[in-house]
Amino acid sequence: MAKLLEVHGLTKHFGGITAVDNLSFHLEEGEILGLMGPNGSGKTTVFNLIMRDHKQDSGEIFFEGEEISHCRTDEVVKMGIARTYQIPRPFRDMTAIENIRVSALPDEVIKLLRREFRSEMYTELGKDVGLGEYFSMYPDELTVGNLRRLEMAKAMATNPKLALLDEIFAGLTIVEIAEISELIRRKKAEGLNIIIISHDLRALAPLVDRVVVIYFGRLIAEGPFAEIVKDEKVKAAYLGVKGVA
Amino acid sequence: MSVVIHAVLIGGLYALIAAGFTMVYSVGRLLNLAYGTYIMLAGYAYWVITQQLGLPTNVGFIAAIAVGIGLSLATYRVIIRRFLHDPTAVFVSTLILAIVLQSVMVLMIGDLPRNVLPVITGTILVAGITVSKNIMVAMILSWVTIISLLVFVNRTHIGRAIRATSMDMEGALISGVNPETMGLVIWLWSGALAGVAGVFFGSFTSLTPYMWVFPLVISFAIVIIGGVGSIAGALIAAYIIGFAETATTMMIDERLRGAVAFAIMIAIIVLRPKGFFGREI
Amino acid sequence: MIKSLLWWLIFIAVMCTLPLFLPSGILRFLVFANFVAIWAMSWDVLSGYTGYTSFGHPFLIGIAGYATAILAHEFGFPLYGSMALGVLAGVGAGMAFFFPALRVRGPYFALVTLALMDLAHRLVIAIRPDVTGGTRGITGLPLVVSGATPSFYMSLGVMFAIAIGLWFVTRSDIGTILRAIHMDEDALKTEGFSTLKYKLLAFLLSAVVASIGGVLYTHYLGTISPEGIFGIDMLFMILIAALIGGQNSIIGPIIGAYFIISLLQVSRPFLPGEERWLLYGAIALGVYFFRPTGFYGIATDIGSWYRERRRRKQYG
Repeated sequence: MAKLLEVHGLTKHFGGITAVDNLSFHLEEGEILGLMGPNGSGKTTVFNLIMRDHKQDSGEIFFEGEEISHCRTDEVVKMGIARTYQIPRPFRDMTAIENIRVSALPDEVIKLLRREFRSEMYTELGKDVGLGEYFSMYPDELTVGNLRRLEMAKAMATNPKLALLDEIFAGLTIVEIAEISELIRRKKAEGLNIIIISHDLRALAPLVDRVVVIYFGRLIAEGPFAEIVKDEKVKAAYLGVKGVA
Repeated sequence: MSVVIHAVLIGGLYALIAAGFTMVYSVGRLLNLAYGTYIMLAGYAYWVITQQLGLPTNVGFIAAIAVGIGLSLATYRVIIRRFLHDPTAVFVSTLILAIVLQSVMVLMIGDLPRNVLPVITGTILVAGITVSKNIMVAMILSWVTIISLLVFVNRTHIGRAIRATSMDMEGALISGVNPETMGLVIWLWSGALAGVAGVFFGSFTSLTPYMWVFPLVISFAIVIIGGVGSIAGALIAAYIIGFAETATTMMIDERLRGAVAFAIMIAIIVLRPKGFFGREI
Repeated sequence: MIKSLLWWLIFIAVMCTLPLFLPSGILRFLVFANFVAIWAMSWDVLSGYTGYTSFGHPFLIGIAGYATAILAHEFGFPLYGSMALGVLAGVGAGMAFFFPALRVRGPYFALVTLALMDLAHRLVIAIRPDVTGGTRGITGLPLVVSGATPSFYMSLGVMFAIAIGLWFVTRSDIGTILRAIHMDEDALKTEGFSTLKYKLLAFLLSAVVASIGGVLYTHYLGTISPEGIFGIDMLFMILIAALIGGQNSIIGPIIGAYFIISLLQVSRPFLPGEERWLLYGAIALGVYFFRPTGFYGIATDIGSWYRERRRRKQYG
């Protein structure tokens, strides 16, 4: 199996805090990877580094064999990585369908000038995630569940090969979790690779092929879900026992 | 040597001027473009009280501080509360407010420059150089002010609450911090500092209704160079600017005052937008 | 799209007939209104759309104006040559100083541009006053047109061409992206957009338009002075025109410019001096508080309210 994404020795400091500490992991093609760890262990920072929102202090990142460690955010997106935000960030003065449409627009001045992209072209994307009835609503009118769907739709709109989903289940009802899980499974079947950050072990369990556990920015465990939950170090980390990593 | 002495004194004056602005911008994250006019009006208040009415300087100080606090709180109540989540609207409205206040002064008092007598007259010999006592006092006051600000923000309960609010509004709210009180405290302090600065700045240059632009831009340059979010950084930046300006005005050309501050500010923005001590934005 | 073009045609047709029945005094201040409209639109395409509020447009206008004035007056350049170079100078200075400031966000950018404007003001007075004319400025410049009516048509034509051009660009998805930059620039990058590209585009449009206005205005008045062009008055007028008229719309600034200049004229006999700024400031604050989207925003609100009412009547 080819390695789609590879992270080597990634390190990031913020002032006096080490958010990510010499972290290395990879994602195989065709798998869903779970990224777990207690609050504040640096998971979102890992996403931010992959998406180039922050610059790492050391380490390299490879996507499809090419090094992306020094690219810009938009370059990484164009290469095929998309992400959703832990706290949804829709464009607040645009309706749901307009939000999706903006994501799907090409980054080319001439094409944008020609005004060729009607909103109707993006309804499939919206319906696919289950936002069909909410197209003309504004973000402040949407429920958390729908905002997360909107995040997914916007991520899908950039035609990614890899999607980074940050706490996609947070704040959702059991029904919504089931629906989003179904969406994720469908996308995997269509060929999308996914890394999910989540606290929700029950939601993650049926979805992920493999799990990577991070504690204080360091990798403390890696492997299939069933093994991870039995790992002593992982249990200690979640329960707050000192001296684990 | 003379350059050094004067630079230290100017740095002190600039720090005093920027202190109030730093409070609202670094801690409250809001740009109040009318800040310069508080200084201007406080200066006028001091002048009116001490030179037109002949009252003692203490009363003048009280008047200046009162004017600063009054204007600051009024701005907070009226403008900031209306445009709380829209920084663009805040600084557009405060700019308009500044110009309105400027026009009011021009109409009421006219735009002839007025001379404010120094708070303390006379000169003193420092390391063989003659310096005005007035500026010395300003400098000492600025140190007192900034150090007490630092103590306040880092050691007191309220001060830490304010810092928390500036870093993470939601987290602070959950912890039981009352944003209303925070806002009031910040703006009150800012106004008081503007009042004090007004008295000294007025005696440093002459009073005109247009004198609000310079303190505003200096304050802003100081915040940028020192780094947003850092009060100590602002202090250091004030001295950097003080040195740079004194060096150029005394050794190259008098008219370049102000230009140096801008040049440094632009350089910092281009090379190191965080400033020297700023937090990652 | 076609409907809007119709409105534009009606507008220009009406405006063209004005010289037939308006005295030249009024025409002259309409010329000024057209220039303010040009500058307010240039402000809007950058600041109204991307949210990078600029307080330094007089910097661009003034550099362009002074460049053409100096070239024409000191070095005897032919008129159209110096104007073209003036525009280049304005855009060039903008790229060198204004544009790098776009790396930083909102308030930083605004105050840096304000500082640039103030800096230009001081430098023009202090450096080589023999060339720049110091505080008095330069007079006796060649005129591009003379007479009230030709000036009116010239300014109207330029304003209209610029309006159509900017309107076309901002109504396209370029405008959508610019607005998205205002809403959340980082999220937009995550959607795969190189936001620098669009900021550059908006800036270039803004700088070119402002500079064109600057050179034409200089050669309409025949003079240029530091206070007139780098003064807070000029900044204030442009800002208020764009804000009262309605930012983020291109049309709003035109409305605002005409409104504010008409107000200037009407109030001149009663409030000759500084009081006018007090009045404008108060009105600007008032309108802004009530409807930050300005007159244009009020007009579109009325329009949608009216359409909503008709729709309800139709469907019961």
